[in-house]
Amino acid sequence: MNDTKTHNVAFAWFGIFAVAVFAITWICAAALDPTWVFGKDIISKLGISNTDASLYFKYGCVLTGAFAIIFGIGNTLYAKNAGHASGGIFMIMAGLFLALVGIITMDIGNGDLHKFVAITMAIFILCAAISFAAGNWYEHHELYAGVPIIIICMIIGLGIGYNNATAEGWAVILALLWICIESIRMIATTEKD
Amino acid sequence: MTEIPKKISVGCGLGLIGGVASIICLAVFYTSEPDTLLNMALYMLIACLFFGIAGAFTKTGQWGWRMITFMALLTIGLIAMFTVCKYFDVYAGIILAAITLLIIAVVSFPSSKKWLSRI
Repeated sequence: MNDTKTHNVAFAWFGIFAVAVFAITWICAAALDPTWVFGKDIISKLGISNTDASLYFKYGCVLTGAFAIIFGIGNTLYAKNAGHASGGIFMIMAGLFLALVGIITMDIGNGDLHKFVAITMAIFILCAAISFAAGNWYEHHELYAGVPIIIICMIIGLGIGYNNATAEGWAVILALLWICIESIRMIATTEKD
Repeated sequence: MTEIPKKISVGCGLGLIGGVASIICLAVFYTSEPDTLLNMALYMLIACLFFGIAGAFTKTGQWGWRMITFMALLTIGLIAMFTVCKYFDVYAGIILAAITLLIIAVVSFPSSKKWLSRI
């Protein structure tokens, strides 16, 4: 199964790059803005910070979105079934809206447009996770299919048991973890064409 | 294939242990407050899922290995959700999730898959 590396492995690495870029962006932005508190403030608040954290947030979101789009294109092009293909398309849309999150920050208008873009991005990521789970199950990769389902259950629990800021923070961390695992799946299940 | 492999017996045992552990958690974390009923119901739900998984590892079990894997993943997901929601005690959730992970590990062995694919 891993005889030959084909081009989809290169696309898979963009998923890992997206996770790394967003993680570094978030850590740097949070370090630059000492008033931002995990669990108390939402991540989007870093985009309207008075410090350089806002620059990190904006450019980080745009760059992560671009990498996510490329990752989605790779999944769509090298899709083994409809689940992977649709998951790739949802990932492209999620990446596009993530880039828009960085461009349309909370201080534009009354913040409703930013909320709309952020929630739409989250919905697309949810759809991507479900599609990939279905695609992986169909390909007999049951454990890879189970990971997003467990993560979705945890995020539902976070939404019920915690405030918005805490739930959002942990949900983003779990989503990054999922994208990493999905990239590893794409690399590990590469077949010779 | 009338002989049950040892791994299948281990899987059945783990399912039973998980069910019993859920019932024990139900008793240990019982309080006399009215809103404890939901917690008890959720522990009971997980116990039912564990006993169902244990039943799949018998000679007359009707589930193939993919269905068992699916049910085990569903159980882990629910345990994770209830633990995060603070309905389950954290340590109880970790123990129950660990038992379910062991069940998935047992099912993943080629000999287990072969026996469970007899259906």
